[in-house]
Amino acid sequence: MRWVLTLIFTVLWFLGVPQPTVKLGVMVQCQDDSLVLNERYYSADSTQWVSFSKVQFYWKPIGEDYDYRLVDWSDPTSWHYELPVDELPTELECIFGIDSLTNSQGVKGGDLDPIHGMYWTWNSGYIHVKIEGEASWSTARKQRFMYHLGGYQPKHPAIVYHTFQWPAHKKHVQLIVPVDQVVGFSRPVYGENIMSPGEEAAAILLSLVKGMELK
Amino acid sequence: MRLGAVIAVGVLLAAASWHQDLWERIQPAHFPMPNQQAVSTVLDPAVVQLGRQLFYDPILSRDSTISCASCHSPYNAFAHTDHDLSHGIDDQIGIRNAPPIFNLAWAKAYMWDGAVHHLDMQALAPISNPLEMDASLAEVVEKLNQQPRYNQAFRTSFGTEIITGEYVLKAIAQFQATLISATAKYDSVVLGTATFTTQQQQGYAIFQNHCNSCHTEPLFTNGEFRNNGLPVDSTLNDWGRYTITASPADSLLFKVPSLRNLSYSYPYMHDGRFLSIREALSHYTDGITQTPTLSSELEQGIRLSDREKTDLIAFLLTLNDRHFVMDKAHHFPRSML
Repeated sequence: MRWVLTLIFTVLWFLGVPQPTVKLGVMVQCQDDSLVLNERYYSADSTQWVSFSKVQFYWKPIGEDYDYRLVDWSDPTSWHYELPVDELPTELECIFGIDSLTNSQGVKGGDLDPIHGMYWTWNSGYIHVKIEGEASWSTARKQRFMYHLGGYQPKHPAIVYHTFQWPAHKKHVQLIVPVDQVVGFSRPVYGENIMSPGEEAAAILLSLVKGMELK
Repeated sequence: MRLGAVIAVGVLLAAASWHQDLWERIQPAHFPMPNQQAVSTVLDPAVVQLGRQLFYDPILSRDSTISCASCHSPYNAFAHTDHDLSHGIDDQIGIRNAPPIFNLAWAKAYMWDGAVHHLDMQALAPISNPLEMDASLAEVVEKLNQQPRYNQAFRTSFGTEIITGEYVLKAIAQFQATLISATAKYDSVVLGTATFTTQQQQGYAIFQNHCNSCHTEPLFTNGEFRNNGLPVDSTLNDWGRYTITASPADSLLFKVPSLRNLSYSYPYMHDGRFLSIREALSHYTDGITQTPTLSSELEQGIRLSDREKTDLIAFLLTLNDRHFVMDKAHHFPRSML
C-alpha cells in the first residue's frame, strides 16, 4: 500500500511541477530611456524634435512553445513575457515580423487577430511594425510620419531573424528597442510614409532589430 | 492524463469526420479539389449559418446601412448589377464592379487584383474600405458583442460568447465557401444527365477553341491574371494587379472571371463597362488594345463571325445556374427577421 501511495504522490508531484520559465520585458527607448508616447524629444541643439504616437511590432522567440506576440507600447500588458525553458538559456533566437507561412494561412486569433489593426486590408499580409508620430523635419500633413512595415514575399521580406546573447545567470532580462535608431531628428531618405512592402520597409526593420539588445 | 488524451483525440477525429462530411456533401463530383492554401475546407454548419447571418447584416458597416449583400445580391449570383461601378456607404461610388461570389474554394486569389490570397481575410477588405463599409474590425466586433443574439450565435458556433475578429472573418469565409455553382445545364451535360442542343454544341466547340485557355473548365476561370486588352479608362486609371505588386509585368492584369452565371451578373469586366455578352465578345474580336502586357492568347485577336458569336452565346447561357441563384439556403436568413 505504501509503495502505491508513494507512486501516486510521485506522479502527482511531477504533474504539478511547473516548467521553468524566464522573464523578458520589452522596453522601447528613445534617447536611452523608456519612451514616453506623444512627448517631444529634442536634439542636442534643441532645433529639431520628434515624438512617437505609436510603436507596435510582432516578434517571437524561435521554438515550438512560443506564439507570436504583439508589442504595443501603449499597452503595458504587452511588454512582459514568461518564456518556458528547459534550462537557463545562453542565447535567444527571435523572429521579428510574421513568417511567410503564418502570413499565408488565413485568419488567426490572439495577438494575430486582425482586430488589432495589424493586417493590411488592401493587400494580404500582416503589418509587422507600426511606428507613427510627428517630427519637425516632416513635410507631411500635421508634420506626421507613418511607417507600416510588412511584406513576406521572397523579394524584400520585412522579416528579421536575430540571435541575442542571453545575459549570464539572469532569469529576468529586458529587450531594449531603441526606436530613435530608425526615426531621429533628421528626415530619413525614405521620407515620411511607408505603407507597403518593399526594399525600404525591409531595410528599416533590419535597422531596428540591429539596434536591439538583450540586457 | 493519457486516457484523457485518447478521449480527446477520439472526439477530434469524430468532429473532423463530421466536418469532412459537410464538405463532401457539397463538393461537386466533377470539380477538382478545393485550394486548401486559400480556404479552410473544414466546414461547420453552425459557423456557416452564422456567416450567412453576418453576410446579410449591415452591422458590418460604419453606420449599419451597408451589408455584404448590398453589393453581392443572391439573385444576381452575388454580383452587383445595374451599376458599372459599385457604390457603398454614403452612396459613394467605388472604382470597380463587385464581382459575383461563387466557387471561391477553388480560387487562387481574391478581388480583381488578387489583393487577398486567403478567403478568411477577404471580408476585411470591403469592411475597411472607406468607399464600401468604412468600418474597422474592432468597431464591428464591439457592435456584435452588444447584441445578445450574436453572443448566442457565436457560442453555438465557436463555443464562446466572446466575439473576436478571427471568428467574424472565419464565419463569413465559411458561408462564402458554401456558395457553389455547379448545377447549370453544362454541368448536367458533363455528368451525362443532359445534352446540348446543336447550337449549344457548336458554341461549345467555339469556346474550347478560343476561350478555354483562360476560362478553363469546369470553373470557367484559370484563376490567374491576364491583360485582356481593355483600354485604360482615364477616369479611373486602374492598373489592376500592378497596384498590388508594383511589378510592371502586372500592369493592366486583372483576375480572369468565371463565365458562369453571366445572365445574372452583368455588367462585365472589372469596371462594368460592357452591358451585354455580345458587347464583351465584340471587344475580343474588334476592340483589343495592344500593350506590353497583353495576354499572348489575344495578340492576334479572336476572329468570330456574327453567327459564331450567337452560337458561343448559346453555349455560355448553359452556364447559368438558376438552381444556385434561387437556392434559399443562401438567401436572407429568416432568423434575422
